[in-house]
Order: sequence, then C-alpha cells, then structure tokens
Amino acid sequence: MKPILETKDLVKYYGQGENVVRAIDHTDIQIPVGEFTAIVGRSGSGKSTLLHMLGGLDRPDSGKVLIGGKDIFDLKDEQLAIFRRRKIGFIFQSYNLISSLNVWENIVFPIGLDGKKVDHDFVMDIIQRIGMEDKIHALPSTLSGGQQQRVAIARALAARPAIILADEPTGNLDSRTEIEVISLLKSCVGDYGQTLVMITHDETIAQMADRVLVIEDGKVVNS
Amino acid sequence: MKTVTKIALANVRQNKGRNILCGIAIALTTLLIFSILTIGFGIVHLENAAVNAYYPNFHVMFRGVSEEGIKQLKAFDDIEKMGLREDFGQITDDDATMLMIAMDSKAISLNKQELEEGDFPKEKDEIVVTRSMLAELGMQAEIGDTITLPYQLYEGNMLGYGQEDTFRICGFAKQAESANENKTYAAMFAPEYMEMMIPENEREYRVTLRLAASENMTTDQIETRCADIGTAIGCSEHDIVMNKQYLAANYVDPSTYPGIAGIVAVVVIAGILTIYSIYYVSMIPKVQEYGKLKAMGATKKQIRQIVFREGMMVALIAIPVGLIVSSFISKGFLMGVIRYLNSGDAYTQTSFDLLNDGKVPILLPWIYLLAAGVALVTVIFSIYMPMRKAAAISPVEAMRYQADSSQSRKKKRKGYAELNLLRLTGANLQRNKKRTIITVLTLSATGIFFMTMSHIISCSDPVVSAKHSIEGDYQISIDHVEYDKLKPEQKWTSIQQNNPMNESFLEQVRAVEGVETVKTKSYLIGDIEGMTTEDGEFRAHITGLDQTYEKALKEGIKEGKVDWTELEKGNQIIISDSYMTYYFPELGVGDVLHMTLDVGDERVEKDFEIAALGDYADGMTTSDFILPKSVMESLTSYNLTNVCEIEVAEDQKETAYAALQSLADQAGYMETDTYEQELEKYKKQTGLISVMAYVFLIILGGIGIMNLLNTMVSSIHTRKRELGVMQAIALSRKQLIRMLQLEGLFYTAGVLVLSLGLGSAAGYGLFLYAKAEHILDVHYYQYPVMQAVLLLVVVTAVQLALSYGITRSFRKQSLIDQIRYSE
Repeated sequence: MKPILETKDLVKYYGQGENVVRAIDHTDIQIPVGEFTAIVGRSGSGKSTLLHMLGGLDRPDSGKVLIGGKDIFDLKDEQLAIFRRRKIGFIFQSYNLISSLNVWENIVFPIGLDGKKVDHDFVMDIIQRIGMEDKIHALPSTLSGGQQQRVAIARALAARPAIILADEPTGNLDSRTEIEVISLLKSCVGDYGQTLVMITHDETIAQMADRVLVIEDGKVVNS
Repeated sequence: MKTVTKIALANVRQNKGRNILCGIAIALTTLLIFSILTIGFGIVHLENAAVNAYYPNFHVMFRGVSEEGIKQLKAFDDIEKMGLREDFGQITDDDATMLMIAMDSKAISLNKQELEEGDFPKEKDEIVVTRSMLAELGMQAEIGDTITLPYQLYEGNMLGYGQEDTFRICGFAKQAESANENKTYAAMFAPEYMEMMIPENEREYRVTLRLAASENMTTDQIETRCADIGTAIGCSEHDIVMNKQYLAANYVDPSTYPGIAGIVAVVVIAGILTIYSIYYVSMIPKVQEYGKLKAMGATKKQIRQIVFREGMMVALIAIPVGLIVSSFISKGFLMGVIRYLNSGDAYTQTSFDLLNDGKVPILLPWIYLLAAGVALVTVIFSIYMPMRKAAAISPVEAMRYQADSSQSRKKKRKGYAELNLLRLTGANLQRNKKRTIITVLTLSATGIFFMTMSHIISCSDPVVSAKHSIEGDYQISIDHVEYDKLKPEQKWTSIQQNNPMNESFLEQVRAVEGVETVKTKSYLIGDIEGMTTEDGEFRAHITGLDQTYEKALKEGIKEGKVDWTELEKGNQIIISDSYMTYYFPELGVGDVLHMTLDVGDERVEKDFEIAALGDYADGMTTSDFILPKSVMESLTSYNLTNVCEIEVAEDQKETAYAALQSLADQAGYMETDTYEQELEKYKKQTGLISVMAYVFLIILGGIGIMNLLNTMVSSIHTRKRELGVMQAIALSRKQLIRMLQLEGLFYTAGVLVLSLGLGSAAGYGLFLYAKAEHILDVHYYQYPVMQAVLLLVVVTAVQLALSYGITRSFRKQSLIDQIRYSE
C-alpha cells in the first residue's frame, strides 16, 4: 500500500558540540493509509520530536516529511498552517482545550478558522459518539480529564483530517478511562478512514495498534 | 530569613520584564510626586522671598506716635523690628509738595528705601534729594554740592514761619513715577537734624514695624495683632495703617496646600492602580510556583515576605532613580517658568535673580524624604493585595491551577454554532469580564483626566479672555485709590470734584489720529442699607452706561427685563455681577434697594428697584450694578466719568497708542490698558498653565502606558501555551496576529470611548463650574478638538507599536516552545 506519511533521512539535533542531542537521527519511516501506528520508546528517545516533525510543528535540520507524496517543508509557514488544519488533527497529552470556548466551539474551532461551514450532523455524530451531547455548552474547566480528552479527540476528528497525531493522549488518565478513550479513538479513525499515529508508554495500548515503531536515540530500531 | 531574601532576589531576576515595567512606573510616580511638591513649594517660597526682597516689609505703620508711645512700643516683645520716620516740614515751592522727612536706619530698611547713588544722611547738614525735585526747584547739583533751601517746619497742624538752610547733598533717591505726575517729592534728612529742629514733645513719628514670627501667622492674625498694639499705645483707627500691598503679596492662598495635596493624591492613585495592575496581572502565571513553595513548607508569612521583598527591591532602585531625575527636571522647569514669566518688570526680575543666585533653596531635604515615603507607601499599597493573594494560595489548588480557568466561575457559555476570528476574540475578552473592565477603566483614567484638563485649557482661550476683559482697543481709566489712607486725594470722591477726564481731555482723545470711536462710562460708589458681608461693610460699585449699550445689556440678562425708557426714569437698577447673587442670594428682581451714594463730599440717598440680573463681560463693567449714565449724572454736577473706551484704526495703532499714552500721562491720575497687553497677559497665563498641565499629563500618561504595555504583554504571556495550541491546530500566524490586534483594538477603542466620552462630560462639568466660580477667566465653551485628536493619535500609535513588538517577539519563538511552556 502507498504510504500516506513518509520521512526521508530526517535529522533534528538539539544543542552543540559535546552536548548535542540527536533527537532524530537519519530516520526513514513509512505509514500506510488507514493504519494505526504506535510509537514507543523511553523518555528522551525522540518520539515527541518525531511526531512534531510529522505534524509540521517544527522544521527538521535536514530530510523530508512527505504527506501524500508532498514535502510539507516546501510550504511557507502560512501555507503550512493552512495545510495542517486541513490535513492533520492533533491530540495532546494535556488536552489543551481553549478555556474561553465551550465544548461545541472547541470542536468546531479548526473548521471555523478555516473559513468553512460546519457540517452540523457530522459534528453532532462525533459528539454523540464521545457521549458529550448534553455538555455542548459546558466550559472545559468544568469537565473531568477523560471528558476533556474526549472533546480533544472530537476536535481532532471534526475537520476530517487525513491523519491524526496523538502525543500520549491517555498519559493523564486512569487505566479504565484510558482503554475507553483509545477504543473510541480507534473506532472513530476506522469509521472515518483516517490514519492514526500515536505515541505511548503503555504496552496494552501499543498492542491495540496495527504496527509498533520503537525509537531509541532518534532512530527507529524495530518496526 | 536569608532564604526568603534569596528567593525574592531570584524572583527579581526571573521576572525581569515585569520588574522593569514596574520600576519605570514607580520611578515615574516618584518623579511626579517629587516634581509637584518641589515646583509647588518652590513657587510659594520664591514668591515669599521675592515679596520680602521687593516690597517694604513692615506690617503696619502707626501715625502720630509721640516719644512716650515709642517707649511703650519698645516694651512689646513680639515686635521684630521697628523703624521711625518723622515728617517735620515742607520745602517751600509754589506748586509742588516737597516733604522733609527723617528716617532711622531701621525705617530705611523696613521701607526698602534705596538710593540711586550716594549714602543716606548721617550728619546734620546732609540731605538726600531726587533729581526731579532739583529740576522742579530749578537747581542743578551733584553729590557733595551744597544747596540752600527755603522751608517751613510743622507746628502742630500748621506750617511755621519760613526759614532757610544750607545742606550738602550726600545721595540721590529713586523717584517713583507716580510722584512725578502728582508733583510730590520728599527730601531726606538725618534724624539728628530733625531732633535739633523739633522739640521732643512736638514730634509725631510714623512708626513702621514688623511682628516677630509672622511666617506662621495668617494675614488676619497679623492685622488683628497690629491693630491691638496700635490701640494699646493710643493710636486711633485712622492712624493705624496696614501695609496692605505687602500683606496681600505675602498672602498664601489657603487652597494652595490642599491643591498640591490633591494633585499628589491623583498621582498616588494612578501609581497604585498601575503598580497593582502590573503585579496582579503578572501574579497569575506565578501561582503554581508559590503553590510549590508552600508544598515544600513555606509558611504564609514567608510567601508574603517573598512577594513583599521582591517589590521592595525594585522600589529601592526605582525610587532613587525617580528622585535623581526629578531633581534635574524640577529645578530646570522652575527656572523655565520664572524665565517665561520674566516680563522684565522689577518684581519678576527679583524672583528670577533670587532663583538664579540660589538664594531660595528649591531642592529641599524634606521633600526628598516625603516623596520617597509617599512613593514607598504607594508601592506597599499596590503589592498588598497580590501579596495576600499569593499567601492564600493552597498548594493543592496551585498545582491544578490553570492560568485562565480559575479566574472565571462561569460553568457554561452559550457560544456560537460557527466560530470565526471575531467571535474567538470576543470569547477571549469575555473570559474574565471583570478583569477586562478593570483594565479598560484603569487605562482610561489617564485619558479621562487628560480630556478634562484639556477642556479647561481650551476654554481659557487668551483671545476670548482678552476680548472679555477689554471692550475696545485702548482704555483710559481714572486711577483712583479708595482704601489708602495715605492718599486721600486719590479717592474717587475727591477726583470727581476736579476730574481730569473732562470734556477737553476727551476732545484731545478724539483728535488723536487713528481714533475711531470714544465711549465713556461713569462710576459711583455707595452703601446699601442693611447689606454687609463677612468682611464687614459692603460697598456697592455702580457703572453708568449710555444707550449704545442697550443691546449688550439685554443680551446678558439672566432674569428680569431691561427697558431703557423705564431705566432712564431713574428708579430701576440692574445687577451686573454674579458675585452679588452669590453673596446675597436673597436678592431678586423687584426688590427695592435703599442706596446712599458718595458724591463729592456729600451723600445722596436713593431707592432703586432691581429691574434685572445680568452677566456681563469684564470689559463692559466690573461693578456690581449698572445704571444709565444719564441717571447717574442727574444726581450731581460733578464729573463722574471714569473710563473711556477707544477704538483705534488697525493700521494706526502704534502712533495712536503713543499719543493716547502721553495724553493720559499729562492729565495725571490715569491708567491705560490695551487689547494687545491683555492678550499678552492671558497668553502668558494660559500658556504657562497649559505647559505645566501637559507635562504633568505626559508623565501620568507614561504611567498609563506602562499599564497598557504590561496588560498586553502579560495577557499574551499567560496564554502563551494556549496561543501555541491554537496555532498548532487551526490558526495561521496571520490570524493569530490579527486576533491579538483585535484584542488590542478593543482596549484601544474602550480607552478612547471612555476618555473622550467621560472626559468630555467631566470637562464640560468643570467648564460650567469654572465659569460659575470665575476660575481662569473661562467664559465660553470650546471643545478641545486638537487635544482629542492628539489623544486618539497617541493611544492608537502606542497600540500599533505594541502590536508590532508582540508580533516580532512571536516570530522568534517556535511553536513547540510555546506548547511546551509551563508543562
């Protein structure tokens, strides 16, 4: 299958001289459409940096990130931001909802800022799946951690991006909620035909993935 | 304890940006407090010093005091200095009055007698004269020359037989111009000569004296004490003469000190608002840290100390900086003010010299201490709340604390189905409505103040004031003096009997080339039965106008009606000044006043019914009442004309003014004024006030800008992560910047709407007040368009500069750094 997401000889170093940290060290990966990939590795192994590169949040020292065969770093900052909000959905460990907006507004936020009309039925469908239909006017500070992360998932899905990038989405949740949230995420991604890349520490979650990439010192050691 | 200080010190370094802003605000506050105190007190002290250096500085003069009286006076221990003058005869001349006087050294110094050249007489045959007196006598002599003078000594109330003596000139006195006009001269002899000529029991001294410790007495207290002393030695009321000019010049307006205190209070409030706001806003991201410190075992007291010491460390640097900078500014500013006021007359020249020679200390130690103390108290007040807040944070709450959420207790938000940039910005601003409103209000405070002050400056337009204060181009008026017992001949009732402003004088005025119209006004003084003020007797001043003023009279009517034919019947009168209704609110249209008018040596009684109450320009009349001129003239055969208003052709002003001036000089007892002089006077007055007000507002504005800067910077700083997330998932950089600009625009618009709206409303209120109270010659409303535009431009420019700076600083940071921030 043709990979939707691909890196070619990607390099990102931090620091200089003896203190240099090889966060990504000549990495080549390919992720096919519709696959659920888990990235695992120790703290400081470079997982998060890799995810940020995949999502175009940070620029590499050298190498390419191809999405649908196109190098995203050929785009200027402005274009990249637009590309990102259309093609990629992010889910962060600390939810990162916007505190001044209610649940509904948080979910439709990327669509609105793209100047597109909100597909009401589609968003309602997602909200029902995350079980938040009676909370659409609630502000994030009134929600539990699990609820907030479900809203974050809905936000990532709402703009129908091709790729969902999740950085330890369940890191702040207890184990029961964790399984619930991941199951929800996995089923949504499957139903909407999206590709999911997720960083995790958790063996159980890694086992739910189609594929597991193990990162060590900025290199993919096992896939 | 040491740890607490160390943490505080580390915080000072860590919160560098906040502390620099805070430091600037504290330094500016200190600067304003110090400058206001220094300039305020500097002007008061300088005025006192100049008055003492310029005017004769005795408090009172007792006339006709015998040698016995002098002995009694010496027994009073609250007399600081006492000088004796004896007028003991007159030099014989056909038309001039030439007094023979002797003064002791104390009298010379109390009267500020100065010689043009030479020395005061010490030997029996020495004399000091004026050059104009010699000229009047047809003599020519220099110092060292001897002159022979015929004279008559006083014997009781009479002049004795003519005698003659020869004197050696030891000095020339300065001659006052007014004395030349009136042909009054004085020659000064040694006290020994007088003692030789006048037997002890016939001497009647004029004693000038100055009370001890008078700096701490009010004008009233001084007058009362002087009168008591005079009465004690048997002086009649008539013989106790206060040095009104000196007392008035030395008079400190009782509202001066409260005024200074009021302005300082405004600065302190602005300072507290700003410093508090800076601390309050920048405290939010620090909450977690204080929570952690608590979790690690810091007590409430220690947390308070950490916040307090951080504030104090900044204050200890900022306050001295403010004091040093303001030391230079205040002194320079005061010098500038005096230089600006220095119109070349002797009095302002004296002030200028005193300041220039450093004779009046301007930078006073106590002002340094007070300013530093007030600034410190301002800082303590400002950090008190943030200090309590930091100490009250519970460790558990602090760990969970998310910068923005805890600020709002709202659980729900109605929100929009579709979001756009504008709605997003709205949501940001609504997040904490209270804080948004407080921010706009504190930011607007300076703007409101600015617009209010601008109204007054705009309304006291020098052209308007000058037109209000003089009717035509040139004014000649009788220089009558009512309350100087030394000059009975200059009382209006005396002048009336031989009025120099007679028909032939007016003919000469009309004949001056360039003179277009000449109008005259007449004048009377009298009493009204049953009317007194706090100061005692109320004297009614009445101006007589001819029918050409009928229209103007009608226009100024506030109550009642003016019918010229009725008025001319002589039974009605118009009240022309709002002070009248202020002092006598019971007066109204239709009331009948029983007046006793001073006409020559007689008093004429007459009843007048109040026909109307009006408000008229000072140029038309400054009297309390108006009557038709014809009515006034029917009361007496004396000439009551006391003002002539002259219109002069524009291109002939220079020559015409000179000709009119010399006519007035020749006639005597006349003073002149021109529209140009009035305009110059008001320009100086309002120019100075505007400069002072604007300098004050600019510094206050500086404090306000620190506040704006801090608000904008910290509102972004605290949301750094959220803004990063927004960019990661949806916002392009352009959109982000536009969003921040929209937020800024909201504050800018808020500040402008409040400043222009509330400021204009308050300004209009102040205008009405100033007009009613006759403050600063405010007569007509003029909206301060220039100032409003200036405010608009400055606020917008500051906002744009801020947006630009913020945008740039954002460009430098990577998204990842923003998202990771505070994680």
